[in-house]
Amino acid sequence: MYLEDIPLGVKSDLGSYTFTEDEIITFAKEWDPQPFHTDPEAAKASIFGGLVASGWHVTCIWMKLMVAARFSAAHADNEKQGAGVSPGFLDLKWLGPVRPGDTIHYTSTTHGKIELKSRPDMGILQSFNEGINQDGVRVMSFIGQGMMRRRPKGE
Amino acid sequence: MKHFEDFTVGDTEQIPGRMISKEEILAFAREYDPQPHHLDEDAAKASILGALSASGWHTCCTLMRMIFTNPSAPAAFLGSPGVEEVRWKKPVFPGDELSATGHVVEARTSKSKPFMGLVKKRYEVTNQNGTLVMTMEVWSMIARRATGNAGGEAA
Repeated sequence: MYLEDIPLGVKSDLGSYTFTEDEIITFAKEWDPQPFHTDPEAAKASIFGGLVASGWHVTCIWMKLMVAARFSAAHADNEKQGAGVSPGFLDLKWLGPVRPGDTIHYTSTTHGKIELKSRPDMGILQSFNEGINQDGVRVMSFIGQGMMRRRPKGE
Repeated sequence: MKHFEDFTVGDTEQIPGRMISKEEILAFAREYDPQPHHLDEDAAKASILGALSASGWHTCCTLMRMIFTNPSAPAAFLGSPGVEEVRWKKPVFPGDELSATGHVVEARTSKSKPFMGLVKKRYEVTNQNGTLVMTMEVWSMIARRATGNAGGEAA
């Protein structure tokens, strides 16, 4: 599979994930220790009015589900070719709170392709990624980027 | 406690560093980013990264932890609307000692929420050799200092 073989505008369903209070607090104590992520009482006085998941937690679960989806598809060859290595991401938006008990449905849509002057054999596949809660509210989106091998000339 | 008024474009801060162990790389990857090049030495050697390295999300989370456990610079953070860009410039390897510098690049009051302002910071994360491994441009919502002019119109 080469970058040239990927059609744009194709949405993949990555599945859903329910955030529990325990998990929200455990993640935040380790990685994002702010009171509105770690302390249900203190969170009541915050602008969120209650405990909310770290945006990084919400985004890391996107990654977890993305990897699971990719491994369920034929993936071994892509790994050798450098797929899964990313130069970074763009435009990550935390659009709404994720509270204990919320179920977020994640998707990834092929979005764009970038050629690399420094690596003519590789390109970047961009994806538009979203998380939507059980009420249909978009809580997160970002543009992800993954390196892919380009089709060799003459092939 | 620093408030919005204490952040000026051009301000720079040093953020105390943190070592990333192999155990932590494996534990994070197992939970959130179980791709072979973050979990398996042999698979990592065969990848374009050349050796076992941390998930880029792990590096993001490590920066958050460094920021929010920095005892010298507590601020009235109210949350974040998102991240404009993250660049994973170089791999983070087991045992790397990361440190970070934060630069205030934009600061503006909120028209819809006069009690707060928005501050955009650019963080540069380097390893023990001074190599830049990640940059992040992220917005924070920060409370304004209460004054006699509470509710005054945003600039």
